[in-house]
Amino acid sequence: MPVHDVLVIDKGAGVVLFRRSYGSLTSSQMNATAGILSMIMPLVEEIGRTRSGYFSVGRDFITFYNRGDFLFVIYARKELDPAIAEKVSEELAVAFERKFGTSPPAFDVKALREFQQTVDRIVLGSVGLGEFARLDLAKITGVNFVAFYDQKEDQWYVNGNIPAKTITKFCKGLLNKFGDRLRSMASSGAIMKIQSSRGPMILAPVESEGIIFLGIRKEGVDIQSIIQKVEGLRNLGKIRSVSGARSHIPHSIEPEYKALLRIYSLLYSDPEKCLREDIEALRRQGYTLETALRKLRQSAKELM
Amino acid sequence: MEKPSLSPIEASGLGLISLIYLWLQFYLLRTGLTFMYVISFLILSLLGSLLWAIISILHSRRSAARAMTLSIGFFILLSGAAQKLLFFLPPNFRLIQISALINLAGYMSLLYGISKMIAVRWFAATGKRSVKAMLVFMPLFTLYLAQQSPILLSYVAFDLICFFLASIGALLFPRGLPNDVLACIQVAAIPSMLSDFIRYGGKVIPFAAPILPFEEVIASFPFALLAFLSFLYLRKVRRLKEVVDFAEVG
Repeated sequence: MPVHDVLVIDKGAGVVLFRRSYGSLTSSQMNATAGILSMIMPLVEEIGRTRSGYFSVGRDFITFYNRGDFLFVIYARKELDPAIAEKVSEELAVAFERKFGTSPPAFDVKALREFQQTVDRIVLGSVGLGEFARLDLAKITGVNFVAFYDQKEDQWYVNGNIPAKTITKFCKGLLNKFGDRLRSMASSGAIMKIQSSRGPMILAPVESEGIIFLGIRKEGVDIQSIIQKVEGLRNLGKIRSVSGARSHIPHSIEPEYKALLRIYSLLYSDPEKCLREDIEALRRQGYTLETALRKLRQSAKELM
Repeated sequence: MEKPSLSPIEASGLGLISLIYLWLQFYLLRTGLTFMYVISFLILSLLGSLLWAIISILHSRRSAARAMTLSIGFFILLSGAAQKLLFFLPPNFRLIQISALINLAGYMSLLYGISKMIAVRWFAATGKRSVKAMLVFMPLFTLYLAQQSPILLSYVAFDLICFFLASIGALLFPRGLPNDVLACIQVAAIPSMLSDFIRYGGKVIPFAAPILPFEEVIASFPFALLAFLSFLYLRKVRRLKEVVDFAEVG
């Protein structure tokens, strides 16, 4: 998973209040992270004059967003754009405050589960199912290449040692050949193993959202990990099917977003996708969500 | 609500009607009805530029969309209608010079419109602002080219610049009305380039002379395409304008 862990830390006590793990940090590592971040936060605020940011930790990075008494932390792999992780932590802060208020909450099981689903939606909405699949599956032992066909967006996400074009072309051929069978398998939760010209392959539908194509080695493949990861992706696929929202927009700026979307719908055939891509482009340049929306609104008005 | 882009039927209809018009032009020329040929071209071009001017009024003041639609209107008027109007006057060197100058003004206007659109979209698509200076430079570069090279060859260069800028614009804009217009300019630039090259080749390369008669007809295609596009664009923009205020306030 490109996003390893999502943490909400109580700055005052230096403890983790909430954790949603996609499988990475151990408990002791997590507590150590919380302690260190709580300690260095006043220094970051004083010297950096910033509420949010990120720093590298080996092959991973940690983003933080400081809001009130809490720190919202995303621990993710370097393949993920830090701007996206920052966006996730920012949106997480808004969602947390809306649900629990500004003081440390007393969690009950129901509220915790609800918030966990919100976090899943935010993470999935920002990173995207295809990007999740692409980055998550590539690191399993014995996997040569990964392709994920997003049926909703009609897009391919690929990763591996072979050039992306070659993988896409090859997997498109497999999709034509096995597509119908795979789609009919979607509800059963089964996976298919085939022998192709590029060696053994595993094909697995992810609900009605997409199809995974994994090129694997003949020997030394961690099949158990593959099955676990595919299950994880299927759960995320369910969330996307239910919410129908790939892009999660914080409640506070929803009116501006909707107004801009209406303007975009007058200009472009696929307004939602265009707007999402434009926002991402500006976010990569360091714009906050609010300023990006404002700038895009100016640009869109220029075209009206 | 009206979709903000040309449907495949509308796009193919646009291409078909332009080709039919082209065939009509070719027929008039072959049967010796040159006067009718000029008049039909003038009517279409004047109507096209008038419609683009009306469209520009529908866009908001000082917007890039208004600049582009107005620039297309000027292009059809100056590089299309005005060139054909000169057909009625006796040819002399001074007239050729004036004609070249008017044509240059038409091209510069079109380049300005496309550049303005790219400048607006560039920022939204990439988050960078660095393109503005380069785009202002483009129409000036056209002027420099016109001064330096044989006039017909410089027209080929103008068409090439139009083609490249329109291609960049079409790539930057997602599927929608601005993209359709830029794609049409991109398509229109190709026959225009071809016609100018034939005209140039016909004078300096002997074997290009036999295809010289077709040059007149090929040169009409871009103006016909842009003029017919104005009908579709006007219809779309009018319907979309009805809901613009609603879009602003929700």
